[in-house]
Amino acid sequence: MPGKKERLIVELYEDDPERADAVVFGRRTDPARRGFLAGAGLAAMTAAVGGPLVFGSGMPAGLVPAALAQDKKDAPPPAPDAPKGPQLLQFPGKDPGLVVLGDRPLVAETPERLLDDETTTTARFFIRNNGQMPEATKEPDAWKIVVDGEVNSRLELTLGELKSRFTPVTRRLVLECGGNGRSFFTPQARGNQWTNGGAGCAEWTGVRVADVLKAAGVKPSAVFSGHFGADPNLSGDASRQALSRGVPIAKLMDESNLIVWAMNGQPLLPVHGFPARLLIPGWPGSVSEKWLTRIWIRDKVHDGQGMGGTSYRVAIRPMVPGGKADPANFRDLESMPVRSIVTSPANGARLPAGAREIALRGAAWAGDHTVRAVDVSIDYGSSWQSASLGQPRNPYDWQRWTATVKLPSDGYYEVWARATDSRGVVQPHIAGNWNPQGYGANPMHRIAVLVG
Amino acid sequence: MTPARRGSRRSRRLPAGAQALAALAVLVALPAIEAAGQKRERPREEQPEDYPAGPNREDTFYFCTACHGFKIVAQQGMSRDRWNETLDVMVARHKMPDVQGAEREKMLDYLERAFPERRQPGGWKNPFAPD
Repeated sequence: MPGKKERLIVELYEDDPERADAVVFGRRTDPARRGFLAGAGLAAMTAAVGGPLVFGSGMPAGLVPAALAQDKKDAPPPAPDAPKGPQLLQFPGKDPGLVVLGDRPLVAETPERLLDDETTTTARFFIRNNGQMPEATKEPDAWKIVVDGEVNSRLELTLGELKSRFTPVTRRLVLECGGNGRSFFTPQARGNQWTNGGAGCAEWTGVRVADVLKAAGVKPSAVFSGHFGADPNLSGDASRQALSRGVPIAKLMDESNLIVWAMNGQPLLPVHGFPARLLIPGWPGSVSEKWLTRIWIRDKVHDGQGMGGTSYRVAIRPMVPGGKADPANFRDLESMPVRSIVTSPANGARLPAGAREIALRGAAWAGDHTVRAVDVSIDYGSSWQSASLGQPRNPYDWQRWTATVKLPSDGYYEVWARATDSRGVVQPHIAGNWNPQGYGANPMHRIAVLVG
Repeated sequence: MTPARRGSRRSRRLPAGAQALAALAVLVALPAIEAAGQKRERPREEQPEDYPAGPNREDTFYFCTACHGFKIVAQQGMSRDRWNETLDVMVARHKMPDVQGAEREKMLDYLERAFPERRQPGGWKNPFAPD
């Protein structure tokens, strides 16, 4: 039974994720294996994936089969002393299945299979720090937040005052790192190599940014915001922010934007911005400043740390992948692109011989837009079937989906999922529009499943 | 510009004793994995030895880790030119000391050799690849 197998895998992971990775995924790869596939045709591919390559003839040309994606013909031998396998997170209050991309600053992503909850738990929510972690305040309600610049009256409010003066709202909102999907770029783009796990959808409680700005009175000269947090710059230079980005005023006034103090009904964890952070959904997570201290309303585009150059920016005229970037040819990445993921079964699930269908679950979201359709394929996109797609609870919520696919035989299958946003924009097969720091990669999600 | 040194990479040969140990490790694979799971309970500070061996490894490691962990470095795979651009970005935006000349070339030698450009998609790992 597929369902039973699924549960078993989940249990394995809950019991000991690293062992599960080894047992279920066979992740401890032997470097000597490289080169085995050189020049191999279908027969070798079939051997490599460990089962018949069902629908092999339908595989799009130029697409490396998912099962072979990490192999390369004339790759130099891998470095002998490189650490093996993913490093799993050990952090108070966080799920040990998260994969560490960097320790300093701390960056950890959520494997797709751990995004299977309707609402992402705090423990499973990804972490993206840009600087050092500020010390957790002992008096959260005394935390000060300043709103200044192009406003009629400068505000300096404590978190306690914010809570009492404005109406709190709770919304389920997707927060997504601007670099989510970066690892799918070819050649590799610079930065943390996110797969699809730099995203989560939690319930956030706070007050509307727009209400606070109305209280301050935004002047007609206002153009852009600049956000500031208490996290020190990694270099220790106190004059420099770890990160300070902003958005145009029209986006800032969106009523889904919140100054939040609670995540899933609990005070923010220190690593998620305790005691208060911005939540500006739909755009790169870097505009949702953690440990928020100030919103500066500016009369020009903000020029803080992480603005300009090629940071959080994409090419205007498409550039040659791997080529040299002309800084004049870049614009800010605004809305995040449409994305869907299969959250169950896990990539690497094994089904017993004779299993003839797979129940799929997943999520889809699309930045400022909604998702109109999710389709799944088990033949590399030669044919598609519609998934049953849920509706968002509120703007910027993700949409959960389910589907059941039928299998004609035992063997190796890849399940591909693609979403279409409310404008009709569909996820591509591969990450396109290459840019040096790797923003906007949203290729279809694929999982491999072995039956028998 | 120093040419790429891929050709000079020596293959690692295990001494006979280690080969015997490796064979034994295959026989006791499951307990070894469990032991590795327990080992995770005690994280340690990263060290240069955690990363690919090569000339200038220590200097590069300690230079970069003055500000950030080396794992972010080791995640990358870039051509020498793009590594050089990356160091320029670190200088311009992240307060890295502007090291030029022989010192920079040495770091580029290591970075280019240890973390060369990878042109294959990196984000999707084969769960069923044979060992």
